[in-house]
Amino acid sequence: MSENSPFQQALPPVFEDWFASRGWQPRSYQLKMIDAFNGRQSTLLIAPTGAGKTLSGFLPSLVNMTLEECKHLHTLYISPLKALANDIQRNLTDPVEQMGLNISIETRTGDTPSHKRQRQRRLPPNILLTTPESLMLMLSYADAPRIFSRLKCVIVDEVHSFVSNKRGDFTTLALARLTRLAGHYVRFGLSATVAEPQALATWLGSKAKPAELLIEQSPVLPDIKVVEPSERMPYGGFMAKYAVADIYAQIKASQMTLVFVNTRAQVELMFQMLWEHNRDALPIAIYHGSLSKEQRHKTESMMAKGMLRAIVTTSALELGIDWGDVDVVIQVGAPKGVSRLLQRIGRSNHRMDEPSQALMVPANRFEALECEAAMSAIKAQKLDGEPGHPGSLDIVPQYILNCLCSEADTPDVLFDEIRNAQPYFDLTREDFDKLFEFTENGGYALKYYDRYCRLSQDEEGRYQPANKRVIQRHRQNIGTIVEAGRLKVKRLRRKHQGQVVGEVEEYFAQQLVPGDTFLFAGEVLKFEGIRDMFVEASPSKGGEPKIPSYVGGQLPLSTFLAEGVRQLLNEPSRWSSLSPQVREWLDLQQAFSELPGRDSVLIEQFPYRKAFHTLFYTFEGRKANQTLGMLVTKRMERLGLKPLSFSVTDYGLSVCSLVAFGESAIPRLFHPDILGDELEDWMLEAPMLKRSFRRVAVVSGLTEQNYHATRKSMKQVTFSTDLIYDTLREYDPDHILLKVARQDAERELLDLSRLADLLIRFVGKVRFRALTKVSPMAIPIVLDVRSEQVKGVGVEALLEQASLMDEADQLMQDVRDYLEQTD
Amino acid sequence: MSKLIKHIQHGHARPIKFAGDTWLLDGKGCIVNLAHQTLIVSDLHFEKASYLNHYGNVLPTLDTFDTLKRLAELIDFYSPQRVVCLGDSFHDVRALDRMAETDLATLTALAEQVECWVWVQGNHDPDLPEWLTGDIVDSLTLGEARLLHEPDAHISAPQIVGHFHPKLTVKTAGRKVTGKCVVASSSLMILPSFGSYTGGLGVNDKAITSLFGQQSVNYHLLRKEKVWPIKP
Repeated sequence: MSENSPFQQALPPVFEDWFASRGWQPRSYQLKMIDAFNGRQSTLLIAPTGAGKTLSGFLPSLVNMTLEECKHLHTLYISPLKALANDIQRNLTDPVEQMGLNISIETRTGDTPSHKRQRQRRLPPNILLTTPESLMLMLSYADAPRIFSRLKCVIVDEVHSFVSNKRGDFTTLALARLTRLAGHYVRFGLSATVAEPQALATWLGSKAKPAELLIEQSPVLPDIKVVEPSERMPYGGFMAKYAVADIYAQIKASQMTLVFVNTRAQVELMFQMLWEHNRDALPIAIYHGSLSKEQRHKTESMMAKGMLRAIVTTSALELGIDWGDVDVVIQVGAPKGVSRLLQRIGRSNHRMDEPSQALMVPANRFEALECEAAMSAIKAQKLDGEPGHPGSLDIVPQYILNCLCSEADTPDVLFDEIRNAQPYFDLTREDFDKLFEFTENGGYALKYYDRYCRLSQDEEGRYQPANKRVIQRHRQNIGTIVEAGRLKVKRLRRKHQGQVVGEVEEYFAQQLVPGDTFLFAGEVLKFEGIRDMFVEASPSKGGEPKIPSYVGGQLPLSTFLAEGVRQLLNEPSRWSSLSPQVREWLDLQQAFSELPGRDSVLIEQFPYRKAFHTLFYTFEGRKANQTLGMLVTKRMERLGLKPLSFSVTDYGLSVCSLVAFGESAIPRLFHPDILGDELEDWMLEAPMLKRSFRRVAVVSGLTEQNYHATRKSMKQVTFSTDLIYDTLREYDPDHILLKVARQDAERELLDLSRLADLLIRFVGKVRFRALTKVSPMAIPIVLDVRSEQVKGVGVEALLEQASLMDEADQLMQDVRDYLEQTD
Repeated sequence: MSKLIKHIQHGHARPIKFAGDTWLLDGKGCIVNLAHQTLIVSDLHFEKASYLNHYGNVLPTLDTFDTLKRLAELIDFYSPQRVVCLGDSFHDVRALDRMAETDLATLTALAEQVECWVWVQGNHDPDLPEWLTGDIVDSLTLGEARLLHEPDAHISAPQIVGHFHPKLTVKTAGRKVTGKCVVASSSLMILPSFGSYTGGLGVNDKAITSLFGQQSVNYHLLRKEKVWPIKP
């Protein structure tokens, strides 16, 4: 098909005029999307940011509604973020108003007031912008069939962020439900560039047919540089301080800069460092997911008005939000994945025919290697991707109940419906039946108890919720993301009075003592206490702040990039592009020890601070290394090698022990069979599985996440899932939720498959080096302070230290005396 | 009788002085007065799970079964003449109606097995039916100590109470260990909850600290069937 003419005929004059009035031409793929809509062909559009992707998704619907009058819900847009839905509404309302189209566009998210939600159910807009959770809630109402029956199109934005996670699984189930309610509708997916577009197309499509692919290549490669630091680059840790002057200079030289770092804690740190450097008082702001809505909105609107010169942020600004003209993106710290890096870089310069500008600032020398590997991959247009996985089973009970809240149904029909969602194509009837039984009555093995039934059955064999309370409880708990408990942070001005500036994880708040200081929302706060679910803190000056540590901050290194780093190490000819400081470091390593090879795993052992460190250079990412660390130390305990602690980075594992064990022990430690014995032992040890059981219990509806308002009732209702876990393990070991928890733990926490690959690949292929001191390459790893203490006998030894065993002897005598009397 | 000495030597129980008597704190969550041959447990919360079932949760209703099983083990081990359940034995006033017949039979058999079984009434179970095996009281005296569910400021004798479900978190060398615990001063001892699905309240919660004022307090952490006296 030729690029232009046949399609432009199809565009109504009002659209042509609108394009012309702005001096634009519809792009060929925008027209192809209209074609796809008319042919009712589900399509995945992959285009770089700045290519008018969003408009491409909506254009067919706008055209269709212009040609045929529409008084019902026509198009549903699903966004991974509330903020994105709001943003799209702004960006979509403008052209619709400019063209004078009679099309209503509304958002519906957790923030939508209830009167508006009621009205939306009665009188849905033509285009509804929502999130998966809000959509699921709408689908649970009895009037869902009426609302969705005439749906023509569903647009899923940022599809790549949905694949391979529970939220994505949840979304595919919603899509399957919509097929049941609306018959055939067109599914459009919008995505940034990804490694495996076909996998995304399959995810988006129906069982009968994957979505068609429409790929728009970026005509220009981004222009990426690595900082040429004026100061010495550190060996390890997050030490971007050396480059603050360079970062600041870049901000000063640009109109608007986005500074990306990898964790929220680093945002605070980076912001603080920049602010200390800010001699010109440039307006620099901070933005991350833990800040309060008001704070974020303020930053958003300042950015939209062009009042800011830089924002320091995390992945919170990574997805397609478009608030202003960013001319440079700075990535501080390692990018951790090529796709992620591209996504971030794409935030700059929303004109697709000019290159995006980016500056990378590795936080240490190891990260410099990662930056280089990522840049080579981008040049070669290679991307990393996450492997797909079968759908999470804990979502199934939630979904079953959701459907039954809307209308009564039989298990057979629901089974077929669920199997229409891509991650559940292979769901077995056996698993489904167990999950259904769980939904109905808990599915417990003990037969002699009267079972409480959440569902009741009618004469035709259809099930429905047993009472209103079941429905209400389910609706309060819809969602899949279980967050760590969070407390709001109140910045005090007067006693107990002040403004809420954001949230921190509960466990973080609990480790603070009054007087402690921490960095939050860009300033140092002094912890005063916890009152009525608020962390109270007052502004403070001076003192070493404790930095908020947030859960989920660590991004795992993608396998692809790890491999890239390993390759780079083995091709000295490519080192010329590295900075002299990094080259010097590599040369030193080669002279002192050796470089990790591609066909073997390097293991170094050396004394350091009165203990012995054994370093495994795996290049398999933090999660896999964490698992390896737990298993290796477990095996070491068994062999009497007295491990003390271990620490991990993306590149390797460092185990600290009291004795040097030498090369002879290595084959017994670094061996695939630790995945057998040690893994089983370790998995059964409570904390690990209990953690995932906690999530599974909430997601599957066993216990609840939302508590009714007051604190008192929270104390009563909060129910430790650990206790349920223990009783199930004891009396009902084959219960379906234990199986689900196990699957979940294996997948999400362990990265077992990656570890298994590694161990099998390198069994017997180990290079062992006994060294007299720390090798240059080991420094970044041993300097990592987040070491994990080895569990086991340790805890009791610690309790002994903490306890008072002294006066026990006297009392013991009392008992003896008593026993003698009674004998 | 060397069985008991071994039990203590292995850390599974720990003797303490209170109200002029020697008491054993057992790592499994009961206390035993040796002189009076009395075993005391508190806050059994029978049928908590089936209660929550009626709010739409499908929790496994195994708690009563499990609580009874653990209680039977303790009675078997100590062979006391008297067992005192220190209030909130039943999670709510309808708990007995919901209890499975088999569990009720186990409970009755257990109560008949000891010479004297005492139900102290608590805020969750204020009106226990008379047909229940055992004496039903609001408080009782044992040696110099008064046993009741919630502390009473008007009583001058040393009190042993339940109600608060105390739990303790020990932080040492960067590690955290949490468990149920016994909190005791010279005049007040708070027992941990025994019921299988009962949660806990941190000992630093105002509800607990306000009871002791300036008094010196000892904590005894119960963890994995062992007792650990912990510095406050």
